[in-house]
This record gives sequence, C-alpha cells and structure tokens, in this order.
Amino acid sequence: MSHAGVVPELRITLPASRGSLALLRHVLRGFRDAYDVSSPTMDDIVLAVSEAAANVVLHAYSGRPGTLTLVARVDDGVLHTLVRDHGCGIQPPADTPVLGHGLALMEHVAASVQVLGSPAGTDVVMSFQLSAEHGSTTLSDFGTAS
Amino acid sequence: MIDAAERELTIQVSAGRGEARLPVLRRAVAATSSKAELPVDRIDDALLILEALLADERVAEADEVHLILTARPGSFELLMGPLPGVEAERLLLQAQLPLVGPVIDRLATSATTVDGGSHLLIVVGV
Repeated sequence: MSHAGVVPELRITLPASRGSLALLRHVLRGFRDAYDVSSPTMDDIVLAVSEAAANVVLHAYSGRPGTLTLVARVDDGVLHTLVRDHGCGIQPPADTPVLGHGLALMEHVAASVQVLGSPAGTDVVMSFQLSAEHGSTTLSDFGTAS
Repeated sequence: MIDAAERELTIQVSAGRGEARLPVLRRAVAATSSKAELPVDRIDDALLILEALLADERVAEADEVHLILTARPGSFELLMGPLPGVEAERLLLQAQLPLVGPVIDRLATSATTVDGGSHLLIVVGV
C-alpha cells in the first residue's frame, strides 16, 4: 500500500481484541458485495487477513490495550490490504509456533506478502487477485489445531 | 461482572470513493450496532440512516467518508465527519432516501451537529 495520496476504499481501526476479529471479517466481506469475487476467493482473503489480525491480537501488545488497523483498496483487479499494529511486532513467544503457521497460510493464499516491522509497530501487506483460481488447500495442510 | 466500559466498543472506519463504500460501511454499522444489543428493527433503522447520509450527493462526491461508531448497551452512536464542503446541519435536515423521504428525524433517537458543525452525531437507542 505504498500509493501515497491514494484514498483507500476502506480504513478501519478497532481495539486489538478477540471480539474485533469477527467484526473485521464481516466488514472485509463487503468487498464481495461490491466486486465480482467468488466465494472461495473471498474466503481465502478473509482467512489470510484474519490470520494477520489475529497475530496482532495475540502478540502485538503483550496483553496491553492497543489497536488494529486494516486498510484495503482494489486496483486493477487486485485487492491490496495492510494490517497494522502499533505494538511490539508479531514475533510470537518462543514456545508457540503460531506465527510460523499463520505466515505460511498467508503466503499460500495471497499473491504477495510483506511483513514490515519497525519499533513503531508492524505492517503486514498482502495482495490478492480477485479473480484467483481457488485451490483445494485446507487448514489441515498448515498443521493448525483446527 | 462486566462493567460498562468493557461493554463499550468504538471503531473508526473510513471509506473512499468506490464500489465498496456502501457495502463496507453498511457492514460496519450493522456489526457495531449489533454489539449495542439493539433489536433488529433498530439495527435496520441505523442502516437506513447511514444510507440516507451516503445518498446525499455532496457526501457521495466526498473523497472519503469518516465514521466513528460506538456501541454501548442499548445505544449506538454514529459520528460522521469532517465533511469538507458539506454543512452538517443541512445534511441533517435534507438527508433522505428515494420513496422513503427524510429518515433521520423519524428514526434517530437524537441527531445533532457537533464540533462547530463539522460533524454529525446520531444516536439510535433501543
């Protein structure tokens, strides 16, 4: 999302709490209402963005209050998303492999993924082809608990 | 026991021009107002108010629409603005839907301008 001056179609900031994740997913699905996106493709997008957002909730603030921001924009058939926190980044505690699985999942379903960390927080930037063919990958391919 | 502060939710949502403006804002209002424990008909009222505001041609032409949505038990607040080039007071009076007419006065629990008239504050209660 490096297009300075381009107004995104969506910018939403919520408390970084588990309760915000369902709301975020619900709002993101508004892009399916607006564009010709298949259900499987939208499911993939929601899955990847939700995973990035869940990482913020779980890891960015170490239990302190904080915020989670999603910025999204469609450009030439590609949905660009940015998930931002202002915490300590998305490195998980050493004894939990959650981030590794989450990042693998994001890389699998997104056309591109960048994780940009700084002392001020972390941006997870992803892009998705809205006309993408959907594969047959399931969550179990990533070794997640679900 | 959960105290009132823990049951309050505030989100900021902005939408630029484009096909997604109405659907994402509708979803944001629906999801947040549902957290306010409003009955379904009042959630519908909140959505009609949003649609009336977005239907105003000056709002439709705005590069970006900014909302702050707050849910408290029994009350949903929609703060809209700033809206460059749009008089909030006039929007409040004129916002209407085709075939329905002006809806804010009829459906909102209260509707006022704030911050010197640059923002609209609309409350939908139970």
